[in-house]
Amino acid sequence: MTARFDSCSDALEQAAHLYRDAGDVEGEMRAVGLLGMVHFTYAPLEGAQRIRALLDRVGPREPSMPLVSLYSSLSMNLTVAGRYREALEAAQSATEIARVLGVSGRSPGWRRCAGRRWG
Amino acid sequence: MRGPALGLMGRLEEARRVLEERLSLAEAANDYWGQLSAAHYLGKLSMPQGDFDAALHYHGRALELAERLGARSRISAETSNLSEVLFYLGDWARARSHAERAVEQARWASSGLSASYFQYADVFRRLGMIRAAIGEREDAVACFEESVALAERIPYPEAERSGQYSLAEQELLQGKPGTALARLEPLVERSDPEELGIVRLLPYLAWAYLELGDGDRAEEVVLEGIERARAQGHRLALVELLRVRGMVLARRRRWDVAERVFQEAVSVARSIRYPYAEARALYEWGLMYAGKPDSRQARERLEEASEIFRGLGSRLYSDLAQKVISWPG
Repeated sequence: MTARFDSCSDALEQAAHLYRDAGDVEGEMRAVGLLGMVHFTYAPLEGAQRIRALLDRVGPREPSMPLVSLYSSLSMNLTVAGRYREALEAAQSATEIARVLGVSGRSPGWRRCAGRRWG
Repeated sequence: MRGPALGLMGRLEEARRVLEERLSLAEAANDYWGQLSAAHYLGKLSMPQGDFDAALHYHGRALELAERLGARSRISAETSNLSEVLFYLGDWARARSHAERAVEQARWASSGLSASYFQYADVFRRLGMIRAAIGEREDAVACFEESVALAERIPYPEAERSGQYSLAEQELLQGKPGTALARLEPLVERSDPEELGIVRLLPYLAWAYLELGDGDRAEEVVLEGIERARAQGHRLALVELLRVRGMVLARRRRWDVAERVFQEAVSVARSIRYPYAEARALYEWGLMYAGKPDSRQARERLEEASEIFRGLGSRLYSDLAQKVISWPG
């Protein structure tokens, strides 16, 4: 948020690896979703590729907030990269999962944290 | 995230409704980042609609939120967005000061990955747009080239297109339509015609065809553009397309139709309060009469245009208009 993208990216990469090594899929989804929110600012195709690789690897999953964040982040990367139709599909996936969870309209976790921190 | 994608696909009204709802929800949740993102896109989508009051409101709000959050790259981006709205509204002194500040912020506050922040491509282009309109061509071209280089590297096609049409416009003004055409054609060919950014390329593409002597193709492109701009409610593109259609018709000696088209271009520009577009339409309208035996109408249009250009501070067009006015007969 304060544009210290290098250190942010390093920390999130490390977090994603630690979660993966620990077999914590939801934790890894949260870290990669956040990493995507850094990627879209300077390398959106790389960000989209990273998120899609994780989605492919983990396969179909139960609806969860980390999954909502992951699809939201994918949509943002695709929007910046000019892939608007794919971005819309990802946004729709995020919305559908959020509806199932009964949290439609709520912000992804990282945004709620930001609101508390700076509020 | 539906709002931005919908808007960039040319579905402006639908996008606006989604984003307004998103903004309300973010406000209710005290989600400042969500508010910033929604306000940013609401401002960005208000601009093509020619709703500059809304654009000023939303980008002003986004800037306040960015400052509150300490989001440095966003502070630069929103300052730059405000400069674009001020430029359209004719307040070029403030537009320039905002655009210069945004570029300074982008340069001194950025290193490493943050130096490639995607919105900086627009930040550089906007300073170029203002410099070009004032008549500082070389500095403007340098800004556009920096913008395109960053947009290509990211890749950020929306900004790449904007930078490329800005460069194409400079080439057209320099009498290099072939170079402009080579720049624009591939961008149009590889894009989805429904996308919001494509319609702004079309006036310059049609202008390039016109200068290369292909009036049929120029008319075809400009008519297609007008249809799309009307369907999308893209009044910013519409006003440019109408001006170029008037130029095409004038060149083909279809004076009566051209007269009505220029009239509509001026009327749209006035309705959205975009004086530079109004003056450019009046200038081309005046040029159409300049080659005719009774040049009274030419003088009237050109003097009207010249007065607006002088008020704005556009040395380039002010000089061009004065040159035509002082022609004998």
